[in-house]
Amino acid sequence: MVCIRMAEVSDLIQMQTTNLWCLPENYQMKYYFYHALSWPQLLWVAEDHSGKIVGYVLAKMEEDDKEPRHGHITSLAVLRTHRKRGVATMLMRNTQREMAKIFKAEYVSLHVRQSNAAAFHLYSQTLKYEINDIERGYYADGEDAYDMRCVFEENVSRERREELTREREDNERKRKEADEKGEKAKKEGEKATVVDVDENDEGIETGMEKLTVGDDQVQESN
Amino acid sequence: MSKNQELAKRERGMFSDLMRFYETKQYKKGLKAADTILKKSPAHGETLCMRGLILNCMGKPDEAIEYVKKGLRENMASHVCWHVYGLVHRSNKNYPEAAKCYKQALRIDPNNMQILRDLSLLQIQLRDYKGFSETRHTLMDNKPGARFNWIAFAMGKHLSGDTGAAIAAIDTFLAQVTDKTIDAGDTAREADFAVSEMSMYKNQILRETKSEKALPHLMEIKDVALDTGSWLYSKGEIELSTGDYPAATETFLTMLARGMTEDYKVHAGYQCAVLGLGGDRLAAGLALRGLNTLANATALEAGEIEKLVDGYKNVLKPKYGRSYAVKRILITLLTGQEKEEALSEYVKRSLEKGVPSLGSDLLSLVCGNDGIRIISPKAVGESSMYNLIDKVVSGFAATMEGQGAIWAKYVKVQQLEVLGDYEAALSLLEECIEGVKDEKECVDLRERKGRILKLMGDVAGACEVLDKAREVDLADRYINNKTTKYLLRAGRVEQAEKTIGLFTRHEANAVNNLFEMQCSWFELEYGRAMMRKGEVGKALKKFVAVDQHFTDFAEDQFDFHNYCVRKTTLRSYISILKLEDHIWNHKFWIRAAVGIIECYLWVLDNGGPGGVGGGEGEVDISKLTGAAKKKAKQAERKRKKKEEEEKAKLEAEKKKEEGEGKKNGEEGEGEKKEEKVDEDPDGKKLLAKDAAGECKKYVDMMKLHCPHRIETWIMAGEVARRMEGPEVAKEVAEAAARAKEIDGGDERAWKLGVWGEIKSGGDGKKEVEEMVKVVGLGVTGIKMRTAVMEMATETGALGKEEAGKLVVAGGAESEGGHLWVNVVKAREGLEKIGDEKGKGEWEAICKEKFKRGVW
Repeated sequence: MVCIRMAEVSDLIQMQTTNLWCLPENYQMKYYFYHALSWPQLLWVAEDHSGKIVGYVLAKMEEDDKEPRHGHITSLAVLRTHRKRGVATMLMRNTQREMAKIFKAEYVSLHVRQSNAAAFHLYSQTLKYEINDIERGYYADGEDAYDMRCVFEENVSRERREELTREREDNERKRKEADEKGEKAKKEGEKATVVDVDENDEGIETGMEKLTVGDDQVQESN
Repeated sequence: MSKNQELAKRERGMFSDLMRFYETKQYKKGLKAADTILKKSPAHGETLCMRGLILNCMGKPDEAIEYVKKGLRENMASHVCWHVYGLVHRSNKNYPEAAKCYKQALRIDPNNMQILRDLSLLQIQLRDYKGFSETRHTLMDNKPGARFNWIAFAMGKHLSGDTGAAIAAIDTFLAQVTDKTIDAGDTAREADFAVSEMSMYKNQILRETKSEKALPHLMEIKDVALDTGSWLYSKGEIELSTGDYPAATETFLTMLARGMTEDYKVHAGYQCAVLGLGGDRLAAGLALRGLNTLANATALEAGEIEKLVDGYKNVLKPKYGRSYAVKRILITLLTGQEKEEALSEYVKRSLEKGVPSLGSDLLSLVCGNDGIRIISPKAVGESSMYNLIDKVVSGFAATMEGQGAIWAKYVKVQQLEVLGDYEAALSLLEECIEGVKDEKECVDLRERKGRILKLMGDVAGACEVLDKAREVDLADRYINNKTTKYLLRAGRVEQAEKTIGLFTRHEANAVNNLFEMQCSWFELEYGRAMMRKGEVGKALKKFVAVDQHFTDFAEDQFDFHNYCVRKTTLRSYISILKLEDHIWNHKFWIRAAVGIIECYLWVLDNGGPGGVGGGEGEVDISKLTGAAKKKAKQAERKRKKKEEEEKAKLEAEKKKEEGEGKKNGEEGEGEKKEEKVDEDPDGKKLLAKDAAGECKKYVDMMKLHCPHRIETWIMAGEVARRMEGPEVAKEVAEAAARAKEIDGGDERAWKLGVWGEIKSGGDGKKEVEEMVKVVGLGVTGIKMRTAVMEMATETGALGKEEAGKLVVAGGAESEGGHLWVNVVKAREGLEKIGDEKGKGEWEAICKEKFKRGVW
């Protein structure tokens, strides 16, 4: 069986390798560093008897001011050889617990391919996620994504819970309307411009320094 | 300031614009502004420097440095000029020089906050902790109100060893966060997180220094520490170290209750507490990794086992009956009938669910956690754990109904594989495959079939099987990668690229995308495949690519120096700093370094890079001596023949794929134009580098970062023995000795020992003869026998046929590990020494054992 534990920084290269063995959405090492240095408690791994990382979850907090604070699953994968033992479920439960406890997330969101029945089953049945919306052409190959959410009841008031439900129903209504208006066809055309937000999220300063100017010069220019 | 460095009012305004253009990355406007100023004041140093800096950002480093140097010459007294010079060095990753420039700038303007901050980043990148600490001290003195300055200052003190000052600084920081905000704009939640992280950081320092205050402080911060998992583990650790075992037991039980039942480190802690361990045994217990706990990885007395059984049976099992960890640990603790029942229950559930990893999970119980390879198949077969597993699994295979029986048989397949009985494994596996209805479920079984075929020497057959499995589940990248890997092993490079390309972003150029995504495993396999083909340049290219990933990993940390101070995630940050110090001590990098060195050794052995025409490994024969000439010609013929075979194969595959290719081809077209032009696609330029110098460079890095790896010393010795000079004999002998320290039975280390003798003037015959005697005892593995044969010929201790007998007479019986690979290498060795008769005999022996083997 496997050991399920919080990731250590020495696991990151192996996590990247496992990701490259499981999923078409891949990230450079820096993005793993970024997660580990921002939300270290949201990275969990499954390690087998030989010390190999056979599964991982990479998660983060969406810290955009506009949105209420929530968690997001950037990537979850388990090697084919280690399926059917509930590894993914255990990884998810661990990261979700820390998300709610440490970062006081209202809910956790994730994207899943519409065609990925196994993953959809895990999220909707085992982990009780609900479909919040459908994102057309979310993936690089043009496939749609379910935008799914799981609310952490301990961190939301009843009013807020109702608001989130209304939001979801709104999304559904809008989608229906859009579909009816034939918007879908138009969206198809835009597909190429939709990129995986997770991969492009740099999140950290680019390292470009501000050059200093002596105080006198600044004053003179004013 | 000299006269020509002063600007008129209008130009002064323009200079400020220039600064702004740079900061907002409006480079073209910046250049224009600079040129306008220079028209009026052509010798204005700061403007010249700024012009250079902007050119640097626009990717013109040569022009850039010219302007910067010119500007600096004009105005050596300007901190701006020195700062710019430092920035350009920094962007060229010349950190020591950059730091010198910043320091020069600070001599002119000692309290310039921006330059101080920039300098501090370089200092931490260069691990100049003392310098970093001083710089952060200055910054803090300048702006004690900025709370982040206290964090960085605390970290500087911690890293430079002044833990008392570090703790005082953290306390100051925490005292400032009273109004629940850190800086304007932060939310209360962010402040809570900062307080939690910094409190835990402080406790980490207290624990590191073994302070008595660690536990009281931990209790003090209980309510602000959000990271409950780390908080509990720290508490348990302290309680163990102070011998408060009942409290420690409670703490680890609390962690399990949090839902961390599958974390073996928690189990190890719990077991230490139950047994009341102290001193070395406690340290060893807490250092256990993976699935290791005291129950399976250390020697326990009967009384101790009893205590653990009591804990697991009576406390944990009733609470966490479904936990795999609890069940698995119990199996290792129990004896007799109870052990069998526990195992039986464990196996039954997994069989019912069809868990593919059950076999390797069970077999790891036999071999401990160090893997199966180092234990001989015979020892496995004789162990009581193996026989118990066999009994339980066989029982289920016979009695279970439906899929359960198939999965039980599948475990048996893996047992046979471990014992080395591949034919039996294969036929039982066929039975399983027949029995599984769902084709997708069969993917795991087919993967196993491919693996066994590979072990039997039939890589081509393995490719076919895997490719078939891949087609059943096209959405599964794992099986796609596995197929790719086997294709590379079989030398079918182009098909491998196509296969993995089905999952990369830019289908037109999979290889570029894989490089961007730092896909080391693929590049290493690809490099090896090219090596086998004799395309050394292309191989080198890939090994160098992996080396580049690690350079980039090390570079990546730069952007986090500032970031983590703001985020207050210092605990993770410090572990990253430590990781980065030795990031090269990773198996991927070691493999890449070995590959690079082997490529350059090839250059050295084949008369230098001069003759490497066409990047295809053609050797300039004119430069070689008689014997080498013959060798090279032989190799050349072989290579050409191989090449032609390859071409024919590819042609055939192309035709086959053209039909399918069309439907995939369309998507790739549009992206082709984005491709970067690689000026050295075949690695020719890389191969032309100074081979001896490159070898030395990588050996030195290996010695620095991975002195505990045997590869380091093997490579060091192999490089040294090809060099000349008075130090060579000593170097080879030292490398051999270090390698033997790590693994006394390693054949490469032994070879180096003989080379050490030869290099110090001896003939090496004595060493060889001694080992020949050992081989005569009949227990030496194929790898060592091959090595002895080679050195016996090299030293002239034995004639070629006598030497060949060393390999042949020992037979090809299973010895664990990748037997087929060893068999092939032995054959190559026989070929190399020219023992045709021995080679024939060897092939006949191997044919017997490896009916499917393809040379």
